[in-house]
Parts: sequence; C-alpha cells; structure tokens
Amino acid sequence: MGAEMSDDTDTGTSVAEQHPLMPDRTTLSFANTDGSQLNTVRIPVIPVAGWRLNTPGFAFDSSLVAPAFRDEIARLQKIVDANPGCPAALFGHCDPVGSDELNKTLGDRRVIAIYALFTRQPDLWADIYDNPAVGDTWGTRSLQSMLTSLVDGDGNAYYAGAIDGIYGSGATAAVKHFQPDSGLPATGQADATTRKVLFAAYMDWLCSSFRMEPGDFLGGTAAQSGDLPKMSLQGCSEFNPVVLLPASEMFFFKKGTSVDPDVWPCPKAKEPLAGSLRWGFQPESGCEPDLLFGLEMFLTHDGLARDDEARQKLNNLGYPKENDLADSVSGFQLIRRTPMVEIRRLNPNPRVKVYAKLEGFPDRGEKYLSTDFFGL
Amino acid sequence: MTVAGTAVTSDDDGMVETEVTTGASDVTITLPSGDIGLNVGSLDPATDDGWKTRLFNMGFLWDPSVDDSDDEMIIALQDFQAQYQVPVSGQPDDATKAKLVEVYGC
Repeated sequence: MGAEMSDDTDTGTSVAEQHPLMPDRTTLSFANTDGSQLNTVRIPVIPVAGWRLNTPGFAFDSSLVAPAFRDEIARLQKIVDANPGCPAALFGHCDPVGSDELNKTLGDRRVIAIYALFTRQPDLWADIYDNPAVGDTWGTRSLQSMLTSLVDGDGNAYYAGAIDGIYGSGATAAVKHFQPDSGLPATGQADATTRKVLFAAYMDWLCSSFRMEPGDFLGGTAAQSGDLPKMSLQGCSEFNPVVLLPASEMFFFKKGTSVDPDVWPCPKAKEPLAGSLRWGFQPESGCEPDLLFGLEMFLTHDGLARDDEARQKLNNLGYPKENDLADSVSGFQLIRRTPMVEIRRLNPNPRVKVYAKLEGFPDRGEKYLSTDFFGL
Repeated sequence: MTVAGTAVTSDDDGMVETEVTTGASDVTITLPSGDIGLNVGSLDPATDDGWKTRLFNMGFLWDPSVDDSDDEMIIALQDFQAQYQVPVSGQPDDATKAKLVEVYGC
C-alpha cells in the first residue's frame, strides 16, 4: 500500500486515492456455543483504492469520452499498478436531475464507454454510436472530435475544422486522410468499418499503454468480449445504493474478494428500468413509495463541499443550500426528520464519507441495506 | 472456503453454518482473501467489552481497539443501530447490547 496519489481539486477532473490500510481480520474472538447459539462473522468487502472521473471527462449529457480524459490516465495507471490483482468495479453516473429513464440510460452508456475504453472494445462504442438514446447522440461531432485529437505521421491533426456535426468537405477530407494511414481504402465515407478503426485509434490515443482486461473486474472471471458483467460495471445513481455525483467512479477491492452477483445491490448495465431497484435520492415531492426502498445514501468527498457545481445540483433537487459538508449533513437530517448515519465499513477512508438515511417501511420488512452485500 | 479443514459452501443467503469439535480452541477459516483464525472461548459477554467484539466480528467496526469515544466507535454503533432499528444514539446502551446479542447469535 502507500502509493501517493494527488487529489487534484484544482482541475477537478479526476481523483485517485489509496485507502488507508485497515487492520486485517486475522484472528477473531469466538464464544463457545451449543446448538442453540451461533457466532456470526461477516467479512466486509474491503475497498483498497478508488478513482473518480468528474464531469469534464464527458461532454455534457453525453457518453462520449472527452479528449481531456487523456490527462487522467497517468493517475489511473498509478493506482492500478499499486493494487495488482485487486478486482475493480466501475460505476457510471450523470446529473440526477433528469428522469429515471434518462439517468439510467445515460449512466449505463457512460460506464459502458469507460469499460470499453479500458478493455479496448471498440464494438461497444460502435453500439453506442449506432443506437442514440436520451439525447446522447455521438454522430459526426464524435468523429470530428476524435479526428481533431489524432495526428498523422507528420504530427498534424487529421481534422482542424469546427466541431459542428456537419459532415462537409472538411470532415470528408479528414476521413479520406485517416483511412489509408489505417490500412483502409480512401473513400472519405465514415462507414462502420472506418468508425470502428477510428474508435480503436482514439482509444489508444486516450489510454496509451494503459489497458485492463475483463478479468480484472469484480464480475469478470468468465467474461467474454462484448459482455457487460454484473458487478464489473453499472449505471446511474438512483439504481445504486450510493449516490455519486461524479461522472464515473471505480473502486478496487482487496485481492481475492469475490461477491455473489445475486446479492450485489446494483443492476447490471442495460438492465431494463422496470426490473431495476431504485434506492432513492429524490426530493420529497417526487417520492414514489413503491419505488423508494427505504434508503437514501449519499457519498460525499471532502472536495464536494468546495464543488460549486455539485452543490448546485443538490440545490436543484430541493435540498437546503449549505456552505460546507457539516451543514449539508445537517440539512439532510431535516428531510423527513430521520437520521443520517455515517457508514465507515463501506469505505474506510476517513476522507470519503458515506452516509445512509434510514427511511424505510419496517412493517413491510424492509431494511436499508442488504447485509449480504458485505458478506462473502 | 474451508473451516477447520472441512470444505463448506454458503447457502442462498451467503451464510455458512458449521460445527467444530467440542473443546476446539483454535479454528481456521480459509478464504480466497486470506485465512481467519478463530479463538474459540475468548469472547467476553456483551455486558462487558464483548459488545465491541461482536461489532467487529460482524463487520461494523474496523478496529476493535479504538476508544469508546472515538469517532470510529460512534459511527459503528450508529451504523448498527440504524440497520437493526435501535434508536440511533452512537452509544452502547442496554438496548443496543441486547440487539447485538440477538443479531450475533449469542
């Protein structure tokens, strides 16, 4: 352990943190019991590191990975190198103000885009491109953006025009220039084959030598190319038990960690909305009792209190306007007058605070968090 | 996983229930993430300091040696109390200790 990671709150683009090493549970005290009594052991899922990509990593309301992401790779590479064999889980998010359908769909598309990027699966990007949804249309703009970032053998960008979504003479010339450099016929048409090669080239440009395999993720033991395994990646906030305002987040768990997918609380990417369990985070006026499972859980970071954008989002949702984290917690306490409870066992890093807000319908037997989630 | 050398498999709820030989004092659970030793017969009653050990064994507390007034301890107690619907005080009151015994199993 002990990789020193910077918390770059100046640019706010990403954060990589090594969690403090927690005492190992090497020996437990047990009671002598007979058949009528039990000792209960529950081994927490232990996160050892985290990486967070903030909103600038994506275009607004888009799953297209922005060129600015390239600057974050060194930080990510460091955290991966420091945690060999530790399975990762990716969480994709978006602005929670939109509808359930928009949030889940865009969250899914964002996390798929990142997962595809790390595992170099341009076919997954092609699927996003071919199937625009909830206003997330890659289209010609995405091609122009990629061709602006990529350079030819002389170091010149393939495209130097405006990112305007118009497939005019400039875009045609850029594609015609890119194609032969990539072993394709120079047609000037961005057909499916050209797009796939362009996506692969842009992925390499963004990530350089950084690469992960499906097996590096928590649900990826038997994953094949094109699979979107549960636990490896999952979409938007309301359908995760933790609300995360950043655009994307990845946790690394202790080496050897395995979790039964049936008890994992988050729906898999692309799981239909109707079958997804909503965990809350709605303003009071918008609550739907049948969907409100009884949990509102908030993850905050000490950077959040200084993050005007995040605070504004909370204000837009109807939460009290606050000036610092402590007051924000107090504000959340007022909602339905139920307590906020910090949960350190989900994330032992004292700089990352996870709060649960108990709502619930005890008479229906609901509890706020599946204990199984923390067991092996 | 194995418990005292015997392979066991969890049920649909992720639970494993097994028995060990009468008088056994040291038992090892082998997991993919490492071994855990069980010191059988060393758990204090919940009315003494055993309530902390129960919190630790059930994953609510990362370090059982922290002081009762430490934030870590208060947070762990609040977490447990909220989950099992005991009034959230952050204190090891009688109701909390009783619920710990009930949930822990002894």
